[in-house]
Amino acid sequence: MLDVAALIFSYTFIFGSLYLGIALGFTIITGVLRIFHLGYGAIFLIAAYGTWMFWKDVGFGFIESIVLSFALVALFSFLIYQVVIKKFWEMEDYLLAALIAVFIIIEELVNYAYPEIVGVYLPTTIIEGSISIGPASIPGQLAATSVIAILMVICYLLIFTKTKTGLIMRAISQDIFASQLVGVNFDRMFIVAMILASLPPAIIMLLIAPIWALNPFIGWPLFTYAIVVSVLGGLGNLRGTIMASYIIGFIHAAVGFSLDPRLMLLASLVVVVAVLVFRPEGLARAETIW
Amino acid sequence: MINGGSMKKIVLLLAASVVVSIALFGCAQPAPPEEKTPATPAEAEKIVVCALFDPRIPVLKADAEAIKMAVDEINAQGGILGKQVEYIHEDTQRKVDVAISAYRSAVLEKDCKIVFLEGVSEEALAIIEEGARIFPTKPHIVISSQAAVGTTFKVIEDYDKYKFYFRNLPPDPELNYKVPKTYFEFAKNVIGAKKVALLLEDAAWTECARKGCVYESKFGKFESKPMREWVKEEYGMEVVYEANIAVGEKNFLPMLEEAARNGAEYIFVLSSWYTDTITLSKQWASSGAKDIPISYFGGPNQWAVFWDLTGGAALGTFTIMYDTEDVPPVTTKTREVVKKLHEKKLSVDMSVHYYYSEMYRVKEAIERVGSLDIDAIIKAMEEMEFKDHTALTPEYNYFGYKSALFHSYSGGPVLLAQFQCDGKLVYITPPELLEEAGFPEEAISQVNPDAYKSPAELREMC
Repeated sequence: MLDVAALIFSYTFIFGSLYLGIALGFTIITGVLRIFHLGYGAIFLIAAYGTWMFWKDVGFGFIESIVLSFALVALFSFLIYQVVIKKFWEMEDYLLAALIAVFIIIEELVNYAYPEIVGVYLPTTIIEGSISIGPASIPGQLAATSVIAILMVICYLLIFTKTKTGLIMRAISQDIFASQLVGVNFDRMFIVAMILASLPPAIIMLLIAPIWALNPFIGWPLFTYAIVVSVLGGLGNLRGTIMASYIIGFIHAAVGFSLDPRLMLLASLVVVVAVLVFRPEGLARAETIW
Repeated sequence: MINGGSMKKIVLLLAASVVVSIALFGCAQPAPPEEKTPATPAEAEKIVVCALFDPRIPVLKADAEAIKMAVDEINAQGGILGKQVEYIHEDTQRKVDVAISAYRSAVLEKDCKIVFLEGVSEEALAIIEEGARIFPTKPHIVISSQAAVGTTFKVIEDYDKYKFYFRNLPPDPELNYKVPKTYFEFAKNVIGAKKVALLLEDAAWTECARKGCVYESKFGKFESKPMREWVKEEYGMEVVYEANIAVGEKNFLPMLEEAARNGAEYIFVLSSWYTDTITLSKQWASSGAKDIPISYFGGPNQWAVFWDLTGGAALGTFTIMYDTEDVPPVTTKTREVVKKLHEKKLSVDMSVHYYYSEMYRVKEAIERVGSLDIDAIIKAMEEMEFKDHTALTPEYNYFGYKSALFHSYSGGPVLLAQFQCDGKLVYITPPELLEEAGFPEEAISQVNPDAYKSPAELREMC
């Protein structure tokens, strides 16, 4: 019984932190730009396959390739904003269709250039093997990913609470028209927010590469986690996302270790729906990102 | 902001792009010439073979390419009965409606006599019904590697209606029992495991393993106990943990940790392409279960490139394997086929061997009949013993005649290989199993269960 409790406790932290890292960027976009970024899943693909492309096809060193893939992710986010979001800003249905179309195009391109058979693999292991915490055993890489995810959240909280740019973003997230009236260049702020939001999924993608399969369709399951967590948290609210991540993490760990791993996703979806029935706005009010 | 006129232009542009894209990439076949020229005698007499596969999925692309390679070889040898074979590929997108449309087009418009279909059960179940409607006016044969036993019983129970349908795979009761037995023989006799964890893909084809099953037919009875029961009864192994794997599952850590916590000494994964064995291997290698030997059934683990895909996390895992150029030769063609497909940058799982070989079975059946009389060809395929299969001995690739395996393969021992240092694959099937199954001496001499090493040993060594 104690074994199971230790496992549930450890994996609540591990899963929760992982989901937090996956959903962080999505929350920022939803919170600042107030759009449902259906192209978010493409960022995972660009980070992973961009690194591979620069490393194996172009011939850069591995670290340089990671840096370049981050630049590619930032460029992608910039272009998405300029070419898609800005153009369809006031036409939500077109915007959603265009964003998901971009995601599918990226996915198809990746599948064309690097089908699974190519054997893409990124050696981004930080901690090999497993770590024992009492009777529980945790993959070292996941532990490292969890810690980095938490550090990222702290960094972003500092940006949002301690920097001028962050304060402006919060102002925009509260009331875009009022912030315009006081002279905020929201266009530039949106670009900054898009680029800032693209970094966490890119980092998480590289960190989980040693423990998750890399294939051209990996964007969807990761995007699904981001949506589930963000919706439960209250779209666009970082406080809610943090709470939701660990609640989903707890559900997955508790169901996985004490009931049936087959029911993990189902259980979390049932809880999300149940919460939304009573709190349609999610766990935290989404009027501001923090 | 953009105005309404610009919006219309964008929508029109997008629509035009989609149409052009579909025209360019969506159609597997070039458009027919506008003015149809009279067919030459050779064209008129050609035998059309259609492959209905989604090329976006590497294994399905390899299946289709293997059929094409067999067709090319057959044409180079003079065709079948002196007629050239025309190969046509149709993209199903793995969708039932698209597959049905492609199938109707293949048989009704392109006059396909032989249709190979990817092994997606939903497509197969729809196509067998559609085929029953068009077969009387357009006789043809369908061969698919789908696993569900339902199609077998359709052929048995209503032979005249469904006789055109064959399956180049054992039905699921065989697939869930006779094929996995190779693994448990190995686990018991070589690994020495007494406690086992079962991770079973939660899909229709694994129902017999998960719940047990009994199927009655007029030609015999299939009966299979749940895997946990027959593993205990036949091998004396206690199943200490069992979990079902959801299709698309990415989080295997609870299963692996629970297997370890319950003292499993061997983990058997009943997987197909719908279980992400790459992620499973990566998580296994960094979990508390990393010292427990783990083995896989179907999936990308059947490719040698699985090693790269897992970044070496596959070290110590073992799986069905027919994808190396030094694979124990089931027939003289086995290695040659693997080599040729590797030259085309394709990986060769069992299904690739199956489709390639079936094209030759069809050739042999047509040549026995001496004409394109489909009814006679079907009879020939039912009754003949085919010896040229590149992955199976005749007993196991026989389509069966008046047995519960009617129009299907039967299940039997398979070649297992373990990933060792630097991804080297070592064939470890117990030779006595292969001997019983009728594998040739040359193949038997190249397996060595003593070459197996535990994951911990391999990590130490490599």
